[in-house]
Amino acid sequence: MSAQTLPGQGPGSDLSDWAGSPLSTLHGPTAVTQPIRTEEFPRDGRYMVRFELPGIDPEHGLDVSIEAQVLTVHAERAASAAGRYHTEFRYGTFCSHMTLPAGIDDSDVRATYENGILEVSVGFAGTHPARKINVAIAGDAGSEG
Amino acid sequence: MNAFTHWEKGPLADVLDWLDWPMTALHPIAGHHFMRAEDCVEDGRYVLRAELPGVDPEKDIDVTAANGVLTIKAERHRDTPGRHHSEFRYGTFARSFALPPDADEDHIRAIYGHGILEITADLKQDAAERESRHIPVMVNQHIKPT
Repeated sequence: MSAQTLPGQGPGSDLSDWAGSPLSTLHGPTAVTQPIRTEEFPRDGRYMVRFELPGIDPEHGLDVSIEAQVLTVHAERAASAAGRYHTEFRYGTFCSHMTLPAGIDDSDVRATYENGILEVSVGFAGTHPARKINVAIAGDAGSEG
Repeated sequence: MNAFTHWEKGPLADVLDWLDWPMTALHPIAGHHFMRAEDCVEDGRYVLRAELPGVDPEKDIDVTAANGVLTIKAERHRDTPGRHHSEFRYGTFARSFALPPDADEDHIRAIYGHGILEITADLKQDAAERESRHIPVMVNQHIKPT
């Protein structure tokens, strides 16, 4: 072991790689994709979703799409340096599918990538005023006729 | 165990935290979040990269080097309103690394982009060329093996 290796090297990183992989089945359609940490919250009348994606080339390695209420993020992180002593980074394909709340406007989606965070902002389709729903009274149909 | 008291993260986030660093007990700076790292030598320089997404590089990253140990500290501030679902970790991230013995501590640069902090240290030529020295093993006649 060279003195230049990281203190975290060894079984720890292997274990975390191994432990991370079964979880991907919960997140993506294929076992090879890796999960992405997310957070979501409403702000200023919009729905915000953030994805933790450090080290991604936003021009070539990032694909964001929306279909109906499902927001899909695909990210590719290419392994770069040859002769690496040691890495705990995850390279390869990352994928996340997220069902957005009802009432979002899928034509009003903005995405920005800054400091390793992808932030997707989705608008809501107009403001729907509360709609009155008449309550039919069962068994009372004959009273009017 | 801050990670386990953030109830709003939900049970899956706790599992993610645990998976990210099962060796928490070996963490050199206890109580802080862990950061993933990688290192290599590129163009004759030692390069160490650490994943620090979502921090302000001008205010919230502190890098120090002393006696062969490089320490990275970062603060990640929560800027989201109220209660919501989050798997992100906020607070203090810290980790120390052993620099290679020939790294020049006076010429270390740090650059941040796309959530990655990259530390570069020059490698001293004379140290690299220094040959290893043999240390003779003396025989102690007075201590008997147990």
